[in-house]
Amino acid sequence: MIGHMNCARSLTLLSDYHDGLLSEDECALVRAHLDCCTPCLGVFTDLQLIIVTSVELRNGNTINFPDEAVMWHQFKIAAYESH
Amino acid sequence: MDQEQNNYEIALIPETASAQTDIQLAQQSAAGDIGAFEELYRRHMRRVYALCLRMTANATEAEDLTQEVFTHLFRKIGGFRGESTFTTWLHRLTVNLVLMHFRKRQSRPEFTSHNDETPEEIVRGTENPNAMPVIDRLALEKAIAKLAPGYRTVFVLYDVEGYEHEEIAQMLNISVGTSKSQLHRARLNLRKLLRQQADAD
Repeated sequence: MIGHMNCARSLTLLSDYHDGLLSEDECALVRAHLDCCTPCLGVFTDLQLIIVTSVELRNGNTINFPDEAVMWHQFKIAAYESH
Repeated sequence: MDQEQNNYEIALIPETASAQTDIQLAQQSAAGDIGAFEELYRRHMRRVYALCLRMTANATEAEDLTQEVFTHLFRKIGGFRGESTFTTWLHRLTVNLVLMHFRKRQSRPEFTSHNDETPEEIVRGTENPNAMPVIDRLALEKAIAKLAPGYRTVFVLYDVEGYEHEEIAQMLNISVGTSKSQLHRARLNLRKLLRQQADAD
């Protein structure tokens, strides 16, 4: 396996590594680096947490939504005014 | 959705608007049934608003854009042919309108570096293992709003909404490589913002 992995390079590849977008060779290099580099592993763990939590945002529980009835009423008025 | 299932759904005799599929409601809306369109509005308004809010980080703009999305939908609903799910179609319409809004405002998200950290700065925080043990969703939402617009757009589309880089690149007229690098920088910046918040607490 030809390649060199250091922290600077590993840090740039962490997202693609997580998302499964690296070649097999690059993936193996990053994995080997994370196995022996605690700081880079710490960054990777943080990114994993962010990514997992971002998916949870889809349920919308963190958002203050405008009043649906008011929004519909305003929409209806505007829609009929423009026709 | 295949044609057989589509035909099956068309053949159903619904009792109420809430029992009907999006496709049925879209067809009835296209035929002038405002009640059917209202049901579609109530079903999808929140998702559209959430996407607009996350992309703009501005509640007022998000409300205006939400209404604009449904106005477009109202005019174009007869054009929905069921090639994709209604949700996917509406979603893409929303993203396109928000991007048009950015272009009109001449505030197209810039896809450049914004004070990115050095590798040493990135790993510095890992000495404190408790600095980010869990992530509060509200804190993440606030951090996303603080991202530079270019980073925020790609992050919302990829990590929150689930688009692929090829789709994002096409929508934003950037390369796949740029989409990937913007996403990575967005994630690192969010990490920095969240750690700063955790240290401050």
